[in-house]
Amino acid sequence: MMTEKKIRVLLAKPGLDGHDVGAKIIARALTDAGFDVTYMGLRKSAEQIVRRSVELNVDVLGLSLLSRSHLPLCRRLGPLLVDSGLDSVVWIVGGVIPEEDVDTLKGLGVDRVFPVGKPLESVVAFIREKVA
Amino acid sequence: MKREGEASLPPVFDESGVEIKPSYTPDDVDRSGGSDRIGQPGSFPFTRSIHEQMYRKRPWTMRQYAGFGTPDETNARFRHLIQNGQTGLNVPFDLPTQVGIDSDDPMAEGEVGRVGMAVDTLEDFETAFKGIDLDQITVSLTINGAAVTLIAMYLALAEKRGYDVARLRGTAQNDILKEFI
Repeated sequence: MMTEKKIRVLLAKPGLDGHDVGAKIIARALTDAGFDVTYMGLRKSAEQIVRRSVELNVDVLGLSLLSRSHLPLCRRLGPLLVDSGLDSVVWIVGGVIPEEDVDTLKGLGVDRVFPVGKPLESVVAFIREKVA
Repeated sequence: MKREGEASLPPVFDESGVEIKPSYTPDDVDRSGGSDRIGQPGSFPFTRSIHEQMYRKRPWTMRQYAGFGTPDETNARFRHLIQNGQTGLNVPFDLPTQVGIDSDDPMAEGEVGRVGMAVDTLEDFETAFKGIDLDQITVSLTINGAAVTLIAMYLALAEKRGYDVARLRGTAQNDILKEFI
């Protein structure tokens, strides 16, 4: 008998910003949706996030960014993901992300950006669609 | 008393569940123990404000949260605000400064000069307050975990410029746990 493998999600806050209500709400919503969710907490370096992604063998990596440092941090993280063989991981970014930066983030390897105000269900639906 | 034709409104309560009347009269003062118990403005038990004259004597300080990424830009903004009548400054710091790391720390990448001013050295502080008369303004440093360091810098800057530290006025947010929980 086979049990369906849960979708494994790692959430983290890179950079130095300490506001993580958003990340925690996403963690709760994804847990309620039946995913296996790990939230790393505040102030994680790109290297720490990639290492944990490898350890947990994640399907999805979600970053929450509010301090306007999303471009330099994602620019650093993108190549590390590729180097660690995590190209196929679904990479999502949420938080205070201006519309004009969405394409740049996608160019860095981000699969989808969820700026402030997006419904929680849209995050769940996107992950189900991409990982299924 | 209800006036003819006036609709009766639902009662209003404060957060402690005490009903707030639409208006109060001397009778209410008597029921609270009279004017002796309520006291005068500026004296115990301070029911009627903490200062005798309150805002008649000195208006509240207007302190707009204002600063930019570099001490130079912040200084220009401070001067502009003071020229336009502001008597207090509220200083925002970038996240590396807020968590107490240097601008060239690897963890500071992408964060330097965002959301506030980057302060690494006393010189940064000196630049930010250049040409500003420190005993004519009050300063609020919006800084938590690193409050001790930043207050020390402000005092060092004032001492260096020859001010009597006892005459300086200001505050720091000083919520040590703010960046960590």
